[in-house]
Amino acid sequence: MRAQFVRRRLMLPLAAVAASVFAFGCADSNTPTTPEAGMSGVSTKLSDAELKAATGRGIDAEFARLSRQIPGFGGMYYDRTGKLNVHVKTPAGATPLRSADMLGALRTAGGTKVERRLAKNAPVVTKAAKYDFTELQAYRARLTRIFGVKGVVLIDTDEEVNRLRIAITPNAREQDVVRELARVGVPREAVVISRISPIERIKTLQDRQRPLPGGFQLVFPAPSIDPTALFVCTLGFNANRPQNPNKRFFVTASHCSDRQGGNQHTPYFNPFPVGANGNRVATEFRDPAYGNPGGQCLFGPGIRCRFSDALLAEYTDHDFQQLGKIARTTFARQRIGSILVDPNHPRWNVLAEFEFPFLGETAHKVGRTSGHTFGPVILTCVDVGVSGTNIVQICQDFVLSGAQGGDSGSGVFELASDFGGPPNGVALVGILWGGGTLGGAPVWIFSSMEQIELELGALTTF
Amino acid sequence: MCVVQTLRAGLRRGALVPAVFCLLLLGAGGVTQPTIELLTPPEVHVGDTVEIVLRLRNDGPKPIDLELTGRPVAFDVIVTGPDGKEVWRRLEGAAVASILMLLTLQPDEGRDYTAQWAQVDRAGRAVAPGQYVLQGILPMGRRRMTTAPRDLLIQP
Repeated sequence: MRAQFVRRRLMLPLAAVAASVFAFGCADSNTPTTPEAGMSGVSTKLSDAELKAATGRGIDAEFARLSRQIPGFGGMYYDRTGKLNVHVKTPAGATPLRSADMLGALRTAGGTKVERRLAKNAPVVTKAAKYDFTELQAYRARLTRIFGVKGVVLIDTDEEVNRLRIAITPNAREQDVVRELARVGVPREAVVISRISPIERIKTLQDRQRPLPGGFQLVFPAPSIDPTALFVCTLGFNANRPQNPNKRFFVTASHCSDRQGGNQHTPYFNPFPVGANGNRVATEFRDPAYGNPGGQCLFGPGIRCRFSDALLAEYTDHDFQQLGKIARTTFARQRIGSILVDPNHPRWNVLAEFEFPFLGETAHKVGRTSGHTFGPVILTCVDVGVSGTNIVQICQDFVLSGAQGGDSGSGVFELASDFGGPPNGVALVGILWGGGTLGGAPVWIFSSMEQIELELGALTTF
Repeated sequence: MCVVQTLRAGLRRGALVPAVFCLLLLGAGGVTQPTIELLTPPEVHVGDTVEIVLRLRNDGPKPIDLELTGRPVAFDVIVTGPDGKEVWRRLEGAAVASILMLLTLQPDEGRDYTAQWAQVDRAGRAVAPGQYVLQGILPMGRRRMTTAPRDLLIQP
C-alpha cells in the first residue's frame, strides 16, 4: 500500500437539507359565492345532453353508471371503521332510500365489480347528498380548462364529500379557481378547494439532473467498441484541480470512454444524447494511458497496467457541477438497492476523503443500475486482471456487495456516521469499476482515492 | 432460426426449456428477442485451446434493443464433463467491467463474441479426454439468455 498522503480525517460542517412536506386538505373551502349562476352569468343548470354524456374513467365511470340505474346515487366509500357509506340525493318530498333498499339496489345494479365488495360489509350507511354522481361528472366535464388556472394541481370527483375537489398549490389564488368555476357555470358549492404541495415525479438516478451530483447516469458513444451502440456508466464524484482553476470536473471510470486509457475527448450526456449535442454535460479531459506505471507492471509482455480505472471529464458548463454531493436514494441493501432519489434527503454530503479502505470497513456506492449498495471490504490492494483484456489494475479493493452493468464509475464512500460524524456525511474512498463473484457471492471492485490521485493529480472533491 | 435452434437442440440434453420458450415466442406472434448460439468445433485434441463463439442475432422482423454488460461484452460459458459435473465456468472469479452497452440489433443483424477454453477445470488442472458439453449464458440487463448445449469431444 502506498501512503501518498495521510488524510484520514473528517471535517464535519453540517449541511442543512431542505425537507419537503406533502400537505393535503388543510384548508378546504367550499364557501359559495354565487349559488346558482356564475359571475359571468353562465347558467349552472345542466342540460339533458350533458347529463347523458357524463361518464368518466375507472371508478368514476362505474359510479356514473350506477347513478343512472339507482336514482340519486352520489358515490360510495368505506369509512375508517370499514362501513360502506353511500351518498343518495333524495328529491324534495320523496322518502329517503332505506339502507336495506340501497343494499338491494347495489346488488342488483352493481354487477361483479360491486358485488364482490358488498358481501362482507353489509349493511350500508346512507348519507344525504346534494348531487348525484352524474351531475358531479357533468360539472367536471365543464372544467376542461381548469389546468390553465395557475397553481391547480388536481381535480377529483370526491365520493367522500359528494363534491368536486380542486387542489391548488399553497401560493395559488383561490379566486382564480372561483372565477373559472363561474366562467363555465359550475356552482361554487359543488366544489371543495384545498391546498396541496406541487406534485413532482419521483426522480431516479437514470433521469436528467442539473446540477449533477455523483450517482447519476452518464451515456456516451464508444465507436472503438461498437459504432452503433451507446454505453452507460455512473458519474462518480465531482472534483476540481488546482492547476485548472477555471474548469469543473467529475471522475468516472477510465473504461467509461471511447478507449480505456488515453484521451479521445469522449462526450458525456445525461440522461441520453438528443441530436448531436443535446444533453451533453462533459468531455473526457484526462485519462492516462495504460502501460507500466512506476515500473510496477510486472506481469510479463503484453500486459498493460494502471493504478486506477478512473478518468477526469470536464463539464461543458460550470453550473452543471454539484461539488461535494452524491445522490442519496430511498434505501440501501447489500445486493441491490434503490435508484429512487430520496425526496426528503436527496444528497449525501462529501465531508472527507479516505486515501484507501481498511479491511473490514463498510464501503458504499450509489450506481445508476443497482442503486445504493454496501458491504464489507474483503480484499485490499489486490492486482486484478480484467476479464477479456490484457489489462491489470494494480492495488485495487474488493467489497462483498452487488453491482450491475452501468454502475461503473460510481463513487465509493464510507459513512461519516461510522466514525462519529453526521448522518448525512460521507468520506470518499474511490471509484467502482468492476464486479464479479467470489465463492458465488457478488463483489464489486474499486480504485482507491490514493490510486486515483496518483494518476489524475490532486483533486478537490468537497 | 428459433425453429432451427429448437430442432437442433431437440435431441440434446436440457433442450426442453429453450424449446418451450422458443415455441411460446412463436405462438405469441413472432420472435421478440434475439437468438443466441454457441459455436464450437465438434471435436478437438487434448491440450488444444478450444475456440468458442457466442453468436447473437436478430432473426425477427423488428429491431431489438439490448442491454449487454462488460467491456468486452461479458458472457459465461459452462463446461460440463463426461460425468455430468460442471468442470469450468468462464466468469467464475473473473473481474468484469460494470459498464452497460445499449445496442439495437436490426433485422438480420448480429454480433459474435469470442472466448477460449484451455481445457482446464476450475482448479486449473488439465481435463481428461472424453465427451463434454458447453453452454453459453449472456447477461442482458436484469435477465439472461442461455444457449442450447453444444457437444464437444476431446480426443486423446
